[in-house]
Amino acid sequence: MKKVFSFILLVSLLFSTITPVYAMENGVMQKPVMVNDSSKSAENKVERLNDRANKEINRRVELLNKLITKINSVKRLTPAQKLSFVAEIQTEISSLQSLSGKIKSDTDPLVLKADVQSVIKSYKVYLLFVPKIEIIAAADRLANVADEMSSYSAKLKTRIDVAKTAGTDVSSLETLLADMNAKIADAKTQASNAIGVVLPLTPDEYPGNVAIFQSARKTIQAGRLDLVTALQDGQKIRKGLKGEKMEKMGSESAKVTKEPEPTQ
Amino acid sequence: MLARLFPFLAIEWRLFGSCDISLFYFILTLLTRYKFWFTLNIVMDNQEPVLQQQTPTPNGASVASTPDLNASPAQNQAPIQTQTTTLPSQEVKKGNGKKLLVGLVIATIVALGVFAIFSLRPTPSIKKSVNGGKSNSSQTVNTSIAPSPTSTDPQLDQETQKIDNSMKNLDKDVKSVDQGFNDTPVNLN
Repeated sequence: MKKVFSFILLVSLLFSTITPVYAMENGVMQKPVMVNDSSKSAENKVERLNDRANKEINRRVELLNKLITKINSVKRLTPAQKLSFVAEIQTEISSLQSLSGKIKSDTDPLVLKADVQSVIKSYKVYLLFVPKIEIIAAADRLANVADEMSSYSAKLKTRIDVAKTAGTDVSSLETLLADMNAKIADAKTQASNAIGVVLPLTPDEYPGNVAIFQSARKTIQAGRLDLVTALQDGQKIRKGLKGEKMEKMGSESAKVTKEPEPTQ
Repeated sequence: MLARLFPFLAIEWRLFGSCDISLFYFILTLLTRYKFWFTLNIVMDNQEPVLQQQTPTPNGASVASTPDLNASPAQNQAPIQTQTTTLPSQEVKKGNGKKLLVGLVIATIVALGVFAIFSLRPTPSIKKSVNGGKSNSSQTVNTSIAPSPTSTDPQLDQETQKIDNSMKNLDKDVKSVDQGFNDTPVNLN
């Protein structure tokens, strides 16, 4: 009797917590009722296609607008180059917007399908401009950081020179500084090369020019690694300078303690 | 006793461990359920026939001390020499009390263990930051050169801070280049 009672209690306890879980599972597994009406399903299909096409067009327009902002912030393009880029992007945006209007008014499913496909197939400017401007912007940033590091390196040189004048052996620090400067110079070259390679690319050559984009990307990555190495050199120089200072302080304090006490 | 506990633990883990229900509630439920379970056992174990207190008769035979209505007055006047003994039901109660205590201790340890696992497990965002920058392009190299607190050159510190920020922005730009290559349109088929 005892066992039966405890079993019933246990089962009821378990089901009190498990039931909602099963209910939830059943809720998820419930499938929507199938509509057999073919005209309704065709209408739904057109609606779905319309919706997706508009989403894609909006996504592209949004990204192209961001590219305009990026282009305007690039320092290593002439104002004429910037204007040319912006004009091309604006044209692309306008044609995408008119395509969006056409897609909305399309009633023939075949025409609609062709228009929707053209969002991807016929708008090469977008496909070219996204990687092109991203590479130009990244290369520009690379060159900017390299400039900042040149200034940093000059300051480090001043401190090394001061230490040298004070009679410290700074040969290792000078070697590091030379390496740092070489890396910074290389990063600048890489940035300039990347911009030079992608600037002349046109939408008509797409996708034949994808390999050039890939090489430009690698150039930027190489430039970035140059800067990372230059930074590490800079850190080592600072540590060396700090160590030098500490040593000096140590030797000065040693001198103080070694001073002979006055004899009485 | 552990065999009794484990099926419960498995169920609790499945129901609460996988869900985002407060751990506090989980521990509370665990404790109260086991407490209830053991208390139930004690109640059941104590539902045994009432053991009668026995009083030894002068001739040595034991007779139930329950007042017998049919007994003669002479019998009732017999010298009462009660002997106090530990009742078996009390022993059972003691044993169950121990069981309950051990059970509660184990349940608490297990619950604390579960809590520790949950609290030590890194959240997705932390995981992301741990594995962050694992893109094919960034070739993660720690570029942070933030000045050390013991630094004595504020001019250089300022410079390094500026470069540090610029490098972070450069990393973002390099990532954007990769995103530009991997532009994935909405499925238009």
